[in-house]
Amino acid sequence: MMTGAYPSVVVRVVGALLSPFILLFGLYIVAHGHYGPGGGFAGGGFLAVAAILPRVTLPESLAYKLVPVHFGPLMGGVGMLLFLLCGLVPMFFGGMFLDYGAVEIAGIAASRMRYLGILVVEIGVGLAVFGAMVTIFDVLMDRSET
Amino acid sequence: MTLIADIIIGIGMFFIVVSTLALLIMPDLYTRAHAVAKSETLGLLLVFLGLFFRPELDGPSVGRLVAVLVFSLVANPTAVHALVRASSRSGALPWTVIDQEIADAELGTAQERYDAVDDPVVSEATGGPSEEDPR
Amino acid sequence: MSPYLITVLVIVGVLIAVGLYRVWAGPTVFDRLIAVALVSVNGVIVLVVLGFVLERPVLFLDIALGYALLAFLLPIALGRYFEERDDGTSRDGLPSPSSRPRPTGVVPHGLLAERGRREAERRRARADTDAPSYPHPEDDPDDEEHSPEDEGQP
Repeated sequence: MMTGAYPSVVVRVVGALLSPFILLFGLYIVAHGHYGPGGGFAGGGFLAVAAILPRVTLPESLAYKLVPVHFGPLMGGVGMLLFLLCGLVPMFFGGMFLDYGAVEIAGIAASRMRYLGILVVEIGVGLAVFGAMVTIFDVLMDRSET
Repeated sequence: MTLIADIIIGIGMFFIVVSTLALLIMPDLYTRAHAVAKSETLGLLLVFLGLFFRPELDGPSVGRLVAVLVFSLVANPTAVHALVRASSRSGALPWTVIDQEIADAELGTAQERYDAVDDPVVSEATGGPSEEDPR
Repeated sequence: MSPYLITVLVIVGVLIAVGLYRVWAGPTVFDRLIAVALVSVNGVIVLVVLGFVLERPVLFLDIALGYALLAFLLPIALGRYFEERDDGTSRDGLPSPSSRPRPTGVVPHGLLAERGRREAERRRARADTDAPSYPHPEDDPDDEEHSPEDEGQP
């Protein structure tokens, strides 16, 4: 009852107009997490809003083509796997879990390595939150395939 | 420059105060929604326009301020439109005068005016056969 | 730290409290949701002005933009959720508004009376020409879904 084309044309047009910008803002928040407010969790929330807003306002054929139902669990799993692997890599170099400074790759300083590690972990957390929220929405709407 | 900013922000604050007071004292949902959708958006627009003239504004915040302004300008009336549309579909009635004495006094003149028009819509609206068919 | 902006901040904070009173006291769920929309707009203003007061506008403008984005989804989704179903049930816990008794003795006057008269004349003219009448737009749940050729007919 809540998914599908919104009965008002104003909301349909504005939802289709704004959801790409919300997606862009979510990517900005994920990538900008170490300088400003936000990070993986908030950015993943915005990405989920960008996926849920078409489902609430646009026709079902279009909305579920943009972000399919199986995309939610897939992205959640990929995000958690990315987080786990990125945390495990420093342990092979003798560091702690998520201790990126211990990773020694020629030509990359430890501070630069920490920066890259935090970025990858933020992306993983963002994907996990995005997948989890989209999956919760689909389960509540009785749309999940499992 | 700061004086211009303060004047514009003051005008915007007037609209925001008025719209919030309207939310408090207006009698029904449609008038409150009118206050929130129009007056509040105008107040927000004026406050943000005034902030453009403040000395604290630096380079990277100009684009973000424009983004917040344009987004609120589009999103706030749309959200209120969706809410009012849903409530209208749910059957919320607009506020009307239901003082029986005034209604009877006006019913005469309205009945005279509508006597020439023989239409179920108008007679229902004037309260004529509404006793037999209460909806 | 300009005192003028701090005054603005305090005033908008008081207005948020006033809007929250309407959230608490609203008779129907749509009153509460409209009050929530106003409170969220006031919250965006508070965040932006707070950024200017603390002289770190970039940081707070990011937060304000995110808050505005999330506050946009809420009224649309919840308004759709609480809208009355076709079978006359609603989910706000109150009796459905269309099943409440209509007030009697309501007299249209002013603009509404003129509109009713014009509507009646239009319907009478339509009945005179024996054109097929389509249902009243308020009774048709899919009035926005007209195909373009429907609009062309008188």
